[in-house]
Amino acid sequence: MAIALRYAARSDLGLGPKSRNEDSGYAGPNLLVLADGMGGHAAGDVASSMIVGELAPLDEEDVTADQAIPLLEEALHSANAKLTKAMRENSELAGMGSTTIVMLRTGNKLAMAHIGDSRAFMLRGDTFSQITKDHSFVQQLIDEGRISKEDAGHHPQRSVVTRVMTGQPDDEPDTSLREAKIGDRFLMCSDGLSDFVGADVIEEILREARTPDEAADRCIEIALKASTRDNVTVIVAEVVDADGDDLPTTVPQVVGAAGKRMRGRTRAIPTSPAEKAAALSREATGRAEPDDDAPELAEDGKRSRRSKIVLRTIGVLVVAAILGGGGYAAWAWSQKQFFVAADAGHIAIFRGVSQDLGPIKLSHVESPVRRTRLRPADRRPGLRRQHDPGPRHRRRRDQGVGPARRGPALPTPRRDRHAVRHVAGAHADPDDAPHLAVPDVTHPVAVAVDARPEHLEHEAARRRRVRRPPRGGGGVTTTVEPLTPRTRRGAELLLLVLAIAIVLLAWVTTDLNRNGTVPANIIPVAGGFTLLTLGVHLVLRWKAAYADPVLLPITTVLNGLGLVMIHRLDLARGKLGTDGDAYRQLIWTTLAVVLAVAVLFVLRDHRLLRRYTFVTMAAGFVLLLLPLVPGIGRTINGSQIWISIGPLNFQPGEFAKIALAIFFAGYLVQTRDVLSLAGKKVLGFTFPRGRDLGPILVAWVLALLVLVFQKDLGSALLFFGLFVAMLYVATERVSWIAIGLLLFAVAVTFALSAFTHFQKRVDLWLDPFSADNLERSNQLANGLWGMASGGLTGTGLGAGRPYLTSFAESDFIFPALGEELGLFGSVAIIVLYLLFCERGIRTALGVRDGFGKLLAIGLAFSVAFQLFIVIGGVTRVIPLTGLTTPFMSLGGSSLLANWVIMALLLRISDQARRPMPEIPVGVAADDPSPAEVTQVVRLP
Amino acid sequence: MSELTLTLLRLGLLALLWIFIFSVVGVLRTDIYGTAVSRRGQRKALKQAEKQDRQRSAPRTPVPAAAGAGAAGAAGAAGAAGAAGAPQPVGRKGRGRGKGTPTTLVVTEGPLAGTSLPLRSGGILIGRNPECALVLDDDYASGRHCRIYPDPSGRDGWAVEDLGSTNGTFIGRDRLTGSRPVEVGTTLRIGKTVLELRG
Repeated sequence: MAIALRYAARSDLGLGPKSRNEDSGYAGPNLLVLADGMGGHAAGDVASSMIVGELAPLDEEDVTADQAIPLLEEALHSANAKLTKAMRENSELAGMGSTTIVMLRTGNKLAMAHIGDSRAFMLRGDTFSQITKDHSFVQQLIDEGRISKEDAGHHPQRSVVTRVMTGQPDDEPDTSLREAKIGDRFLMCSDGLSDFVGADVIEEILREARTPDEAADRCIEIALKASTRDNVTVIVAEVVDADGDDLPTTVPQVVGAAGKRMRGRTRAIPTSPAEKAAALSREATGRAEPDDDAPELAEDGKRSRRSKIVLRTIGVLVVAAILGGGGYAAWAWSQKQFFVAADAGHIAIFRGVSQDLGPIKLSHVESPVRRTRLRPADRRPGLRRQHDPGPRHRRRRDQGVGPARRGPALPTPRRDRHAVRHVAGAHADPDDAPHLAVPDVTHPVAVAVDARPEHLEHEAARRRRVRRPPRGGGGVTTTVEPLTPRTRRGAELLLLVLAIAIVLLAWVTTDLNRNGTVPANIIPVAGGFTLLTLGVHLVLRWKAAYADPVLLPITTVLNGLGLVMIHRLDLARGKLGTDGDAYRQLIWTTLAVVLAVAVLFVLRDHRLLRRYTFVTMAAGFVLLLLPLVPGIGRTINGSQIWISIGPLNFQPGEFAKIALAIFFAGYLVQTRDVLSLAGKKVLGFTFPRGRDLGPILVAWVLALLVLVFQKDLGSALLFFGLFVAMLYVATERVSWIAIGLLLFAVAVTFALSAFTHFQKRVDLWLDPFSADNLERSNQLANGLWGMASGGLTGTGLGAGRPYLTSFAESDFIFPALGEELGLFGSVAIIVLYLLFCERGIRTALGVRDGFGKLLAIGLAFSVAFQLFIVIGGVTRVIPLTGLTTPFMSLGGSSLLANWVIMALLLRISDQARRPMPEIPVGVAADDPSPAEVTQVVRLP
Repeated sequence: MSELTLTLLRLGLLALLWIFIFSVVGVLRTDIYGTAVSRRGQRKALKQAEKQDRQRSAPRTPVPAAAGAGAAGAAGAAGAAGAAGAPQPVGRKGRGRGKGTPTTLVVTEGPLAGTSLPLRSGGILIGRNPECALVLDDDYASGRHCRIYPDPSGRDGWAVEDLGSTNGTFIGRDRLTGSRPVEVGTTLRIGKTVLELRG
């Protein structure tokens, strides 16, 4: 049974003379810490906050059960070492120390370390028990039977502790392990509560409160009613069903000295003169100390925000000046150029360059007066064009206007429609054009654009992260603070606009290159595409405001570039309009977006998926094996990975990927404690126990089945790789990867010897250019040639010949883009995928529940691994196997599945980045009845 | 369309792609979330101190379980476990089956399977009571069932003692009576729980 913690942390100064809270508390989904600092001048808060600061990172680590206690001990050791160091460096801190209780949850096990006289209680069913034993003098007396428990509360030396974190090497905590069961409630408190309020009252509060929040608030309230003289800190946690309906938040709460808002919050009205004096003295000693020396980014500060705007404006102006200056210089240069061309049947001298920039003409007739009439006799047949500039130019020439073709034949090849020659300044040679009267052109050709970019330095200065210098050098308290990120939806919108601009520019370029015109349907299609993506953006604003801001823009670019490439191939193959693949792909994109939005709507918390662990397992296996069912299974291109129902062809493996990622995450988060148990050690690897090998073997056999019966190496590899990767992440044991590789090697050896199909693939991989192999399949060779011909900057979309490669729209879409966008473009695409997967992994690090971590890793890894298999295949890093390129390839199932993956990642990242709901400040307004109060108060 | 326009479009597209990538990275650069641990005041001094600290504690491995198992495989290699930060000095080759001195207690079966407890000189109390170090929620376990403590007869050996449990502590098939020394590889069974001592 999966469990989760619902927790609450509260702290209060208490009514004593203390002017600052020396307690620190931290409550998170996997970690509860309470530290009660003591000693020295303003040092207790330093000690307790240091300890909490040292322990807090454990909350996000998702440790495995066998490491829980060692990690706790390790963290406490290093916290203790830090105390020693701090005391050595600052004599004011001498003598400080802190009690500590820490509970770390791994799965359904709770590891606890405890030192000092703070207490932890557990309520399970009807039994309420203290689960810590004070390390105090009084406790020792009780143990020795010298005083009774009843006497202990009044003993004059009851505040003497025997063991506590003081920076001494022998401050060893007690550690213990227990199982947590649903319904258990835990309460940790500093002696501000337990010294003033009896255990029976604490029990009653814990038993009767509906939520941990209520229990914690109530404890503070009662402690204040009991006139506690010490700081009170309470941490309450309840064990709840992780598969239940009402899932607890996972945002940590930090209170006391380690909290950002340090001021205690005592609301009980001081009644006795002493209390009034204490309250007054607290005010006088300025406990309302400003809390503004936390680290901050330059971007966050008020002053720096202004300077940021100034710098940004300067940057924009500099860039605009450089662009403008450069443009002007280029234009000025072009206006010192001359060329000869035909103009309405006359040869004329043009000033400028014989190009135009869209609608802007870069040349004009310089000397209309000196036009020379073209006479038919001037044509000299011997000087006809020798050079064939290629199909594109040929086409252009054919479309070209009459005068150009009738123009004087010139001896050198021309690259433009006018088919004329530049006459650059003084180099004009009258012999080349005997019929021309050459004007006196002596302008020197000089272009000097000094564009040393000063703005780069501004940029660097702006980007440098500035921290405000700390104010004052007082106590070195540590703050632990759940960072609340901005939603960054605005940034997402800007990126999205940029993404749409890229896609539209790519499309326009393609059509200009192919047809010389801007696509006729650009307004409706571009509008639809924009609306679609902006729609997702709006849904995110509404339903997942804290979701990762870059996933959607990246997906938009990738999907859009895929669409453009498919459209480009359609143009080359003469499939137009609704016959085109691009049209179908656009419809699939729309459906995929709708499905992604539906996922965001339906799935309000990714943890809900965990309930369907075994349903998704069944679904995953069925989907994976569905193509083998006779009747609906289809073999396309040698692999039986398709099903067709009616007119629809579908690749269920794409969805199996998601289902299996969910299943593996749910399964491994449950079983990983056992799977990570160490067994024998061979060759420096600690191997798991033999009996735990079952799951990996099952996964392997299934992958083999896919390999043998569907003849699809790609899916088999993806499926097995996904399992091994998630197993490794869940257990942190490298040996699983070793075992996985070993099993993989066995499978490959077997496949190589058993299938000719597979041998051919390997053969093709090793030597794609041999005559035999070219005969068999020139696909790989064509793809490689295509990418080579693209060079650094590519041929330009629409100007290459990617259509020569078969399956350029699906398996080989990457080489197609590589050819037309060049190395720069293809690396950009890979970087975009990299960023996509990085966001997945970052999400896994940020999200605080084990299931979410594993799921995010699994999804990100499946995309990354699939991409490796595909791009590795077409670039001849590994043998080619048929898998789709996520978001780009033609194919509905792939698009749908990948958009769902993106929606899931968005949902998980929303959970990871969402800040905590405000802790309700202030005790519940209703005062308890006087009878209740008198009953609970136990004066010292 | 002129060649120049097409070239500019082609290069412009690539430039835009990379501008997009750098904007994405720029957004990510400021996208900080998680839990921040920071110190107020004296930040510089603390940073330096932290650096030194890290250098000093770097050789310590935070995974004694794995490192400890390593020591077991290396035929009682003395010192390996010590180097891994295990608190108990491992000073000699083990006795009996020659497997060395245990440093951790690992739960291999039962509801707590997968967890481990380092052996501490204070001893480990196992039972149902909430104040035990290993709390077993098992009807067959007694409140204070048994304990594992440093063997008084040997300098660094460990022993297990049954504390008068109702249903007994089993080593293999033998029910434990009184106390008995244990070594790496010894398995104890208490109700549904199986414990193993690891080096």
